[in-house]
Amino acid sequence: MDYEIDPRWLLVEDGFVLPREHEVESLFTVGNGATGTRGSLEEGSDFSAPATFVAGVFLHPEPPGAVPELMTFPNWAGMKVWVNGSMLSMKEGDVLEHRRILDLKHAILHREWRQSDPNGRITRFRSLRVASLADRRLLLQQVLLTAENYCMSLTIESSIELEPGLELPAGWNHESRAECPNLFPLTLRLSEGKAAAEFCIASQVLPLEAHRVERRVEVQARRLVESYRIQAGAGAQCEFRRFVSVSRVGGNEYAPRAEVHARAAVSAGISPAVAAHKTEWQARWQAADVLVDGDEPLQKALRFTAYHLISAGNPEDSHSSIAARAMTGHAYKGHVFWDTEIYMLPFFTLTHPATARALLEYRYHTLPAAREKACKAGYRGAMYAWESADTGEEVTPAVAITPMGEVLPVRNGEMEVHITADIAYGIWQYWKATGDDGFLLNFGAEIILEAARFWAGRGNLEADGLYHIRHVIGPDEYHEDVDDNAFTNLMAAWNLRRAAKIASLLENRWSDRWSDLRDRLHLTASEVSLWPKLADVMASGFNSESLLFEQFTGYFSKEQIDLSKFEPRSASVDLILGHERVQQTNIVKQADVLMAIYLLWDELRPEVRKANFLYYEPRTAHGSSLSPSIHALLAARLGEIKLAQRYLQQSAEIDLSNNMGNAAGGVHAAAIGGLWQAVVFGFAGLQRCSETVMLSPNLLPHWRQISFPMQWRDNNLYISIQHESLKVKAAGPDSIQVLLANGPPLHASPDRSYVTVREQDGWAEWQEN
Amino acid sequence: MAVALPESDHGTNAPDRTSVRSILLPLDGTELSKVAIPVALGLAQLYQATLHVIYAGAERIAPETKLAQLGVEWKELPGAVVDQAVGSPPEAILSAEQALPSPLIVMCTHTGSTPMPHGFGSVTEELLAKNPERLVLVAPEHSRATFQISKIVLAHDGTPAADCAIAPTAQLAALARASVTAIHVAAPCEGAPQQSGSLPAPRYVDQPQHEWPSWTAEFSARMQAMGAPASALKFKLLVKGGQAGSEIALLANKEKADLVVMGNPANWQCSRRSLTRVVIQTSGCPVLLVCAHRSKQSVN
Repeated sequence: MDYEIDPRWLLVEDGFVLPREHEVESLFTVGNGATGTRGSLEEGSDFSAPATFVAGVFLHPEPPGAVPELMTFPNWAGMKVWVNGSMLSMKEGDVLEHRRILDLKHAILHREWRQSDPNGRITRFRSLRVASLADRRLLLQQVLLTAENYCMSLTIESSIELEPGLELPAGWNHESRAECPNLFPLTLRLSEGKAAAEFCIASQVLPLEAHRVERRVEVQARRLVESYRIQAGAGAQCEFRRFVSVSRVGGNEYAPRAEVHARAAVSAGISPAVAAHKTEWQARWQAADVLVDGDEPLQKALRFTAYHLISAGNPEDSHSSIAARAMTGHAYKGHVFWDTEIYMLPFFTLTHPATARALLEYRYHTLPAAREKACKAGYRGAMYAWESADTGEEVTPAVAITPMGEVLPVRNGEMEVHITADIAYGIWQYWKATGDDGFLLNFGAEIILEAARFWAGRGNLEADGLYHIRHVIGPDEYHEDVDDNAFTNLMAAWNLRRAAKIASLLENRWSDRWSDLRDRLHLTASEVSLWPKLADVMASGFNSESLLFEQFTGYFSKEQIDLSKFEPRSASVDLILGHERVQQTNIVKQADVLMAIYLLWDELRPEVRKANFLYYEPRTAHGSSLSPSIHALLAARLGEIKLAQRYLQQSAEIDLSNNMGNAAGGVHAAAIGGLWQAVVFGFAGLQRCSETVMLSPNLLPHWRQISFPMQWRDNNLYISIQHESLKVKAAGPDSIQVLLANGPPLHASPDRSYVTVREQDGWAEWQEN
Repeated sequence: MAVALPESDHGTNAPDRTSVRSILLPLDGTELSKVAIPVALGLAQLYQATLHVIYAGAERIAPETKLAQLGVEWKELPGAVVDQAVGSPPEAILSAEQALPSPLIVMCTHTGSTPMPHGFGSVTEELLAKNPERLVLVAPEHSRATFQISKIVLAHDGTPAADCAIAPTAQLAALARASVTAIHVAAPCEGAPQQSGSLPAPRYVDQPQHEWPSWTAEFSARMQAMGAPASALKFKLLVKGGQAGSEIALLANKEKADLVVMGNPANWQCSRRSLTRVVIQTSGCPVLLVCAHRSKQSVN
């Protein structure tokens, strides 16, 4: 049960603060992309919310207006321990030691607890919990119980409520199963009777010394109870193990069956399973670990980020995607937003392309629903759901009921249409970075083309000669039902141009595939040729004198509010001023024009980037957790280092601060993805160009070095940046070109290292290291 | 190995602040001090608690003459125990509080004709500085002939320090069959709370249709874990933006609340003092202050 000792790899919760418990459970979730299990106490507390989620398994509630939500599975990791008949609890007696440790390096949740009961019996409880990355169907738990100063007399009990839909196999009889371990094969069925998931829980007690162990299994009023009564000498230790096989039934192949799988896992033992899991994580860290020398809190935040992103993605599952809170909590119901493609995808694209591909394939599998949504709204092409679950249908709740006594209609599903271009953007970026032509041909191109077709119909070419997209909501959701939101229109224009480019690319390079797609989508040459023309006349709100994009038509005439008057501020500004009032002002919820500046960086002149940043940054209230990271990134790129540092810290604290309760409903998956981008794309200044990458670093003064690995078209790069030097190590089949802002390009050969040093106006010639 | 359990008076050895067995009613013979009598009587009846009239003076007086000196007829305080201490009034009140089982002090904010500039009398000020566990303050302008509770406003700033007010509110609501409106105010120019485990109004409302239900559920769940009213009682949570003191008072007036309950910071000299004053002076009803004890456990 040993764990990593380097504190930069550990997330530690010492003691027990009851109100924080939901947050701690979220932060300490163990996951592997197939499942997520919150880090709840085994025995529970007055404020525990244990939950295990299985990717893609949604409950579809009956009431009209209700939206699907990720199902909560039985609490496989729960257990009660009785010491001489009294329940082991932090409420009874004295807590001598209590600590939870999430070993980020090995993705293992540890718990260390010593409890003295009211009679002075001291029990030591140590546990570990794993969601295996080596075998994504496998969940593991190990608990070591030591009777430190008394003759061991323990009862371990765990139970599962056989709620409607959760069933044991027909004819299953626990009395006929005298085998050890206990094996409970369970099937979860949805209301319509369709199997949603299968799982099998296997548990055993291993007396390490001479113990007397009595096992008991009962089914009491649809409650499956297993218990072990253990007696041994003073100082004795016993080990409880649980192996759980769980998988979604349906979209993916499932073999072997859960019971066979669990039995095999038990037979193999816990150590090999944990070792295999660690090996997988080691490989993932080699490809993803960003090192920041000189900033320990940030270092930990970055590892927390990578840990949760890796835990959320699954390259083996292209029928589910990563939700706003991944599988770490109930909030956001497991729904998928633009967060995935814009905030999380870059991490996977550059560290584990197979997972990025699976995430994008989810969008392909939900393309029929996007087409249907467009069709219902009167458009051609594909209009992706603002919120998506298992099928890709629109699942945005119709209203928001606030504790301010408001019932607000939610129009994002109808109006926040930029998500369609965001998905297309993610696909393009993935293809550019990986060169995965197979994905482009089989999945990506079709999405981009269908998205462009939607944009070609969503707006109107009006009398002023411009193409206007009206009645939308941009990323700045404080302003609803606006015309010509700059972000939406710029991204739509990008999508239209890119689709035309892809059509041309396919026609020239993969004519068979193009013929197939063209015929299937009934694309005509005139339709495709119209797209770049529409893009060229897209209303963007750009003023060539001020160099500013107007965020939407009429934005500049909104009431000007000085946000600094509300600082320091811990509540969202729309709460302080009121929802209606904020809409009348120029206050921006989150990066909107600035998001476009970031995503379309190459297409905008430096002075345009800077002018818009300087204008919109002070007007942005950061009412979304998605905002600080993008501001950190842009500020770093633009050399606004103090601002960059402030936003970076704000971004890093979203989940990890302990005084805001932010993470109670789950970890902010997009915000952590944004943090990674802020460091890699902002401070390291990595830019993805058409065929290669470019670096333009801007380190914080107190950093000594940042270094990170990345993959680019089957090649691995390892980049280390200091204030005065920059190293690149290349590995892979091909030579790779690395561009450097204010410096010479590098043609890096495989398995070679190169270094350059800063000169007065830039960087010196590269030297082989 | 010694281990500190940070701020863990939850779920372990937290003092029981729900039951009240003694109501302490300090009187000084002034008309103003008597405005607390209906409130004390009402609470004594509700809790089935013993009413203790406290008077502190330079010399001892026979109990039969004491009530007369205090300007109170025995009919007004049926069954009340008449206590007397020698010494300063704040010390007398506090020593009675410590001596009596499960006490609750009920008193007027000031009894002199010229209260101190901030509206409280010197006894009240001194008492507040000593952090009595439970104290109901009645502003003279909020006096009522009888005191019954049908609506309670529970002020909660999202910090664990404010949790101490939850269980007493729940018990009062259960005893009185009263409804509870919990109010949380998000104030401008107020940074994030420092205390670990706090849940202020959200800074990030990524998607209101998800964030608000999630935050509300979390806030309510935390309150319930700390002993908030069972679902059978009418309980609602309201969030407001603005200045906390005035918003709480505004709600109490709007709802015609009978009692406001709030956690009293362990350090009365802290910044929440002015907020508490505003609530007491402008809520239109008595205010129950529950002291946020900070018992930091360290065990071997």
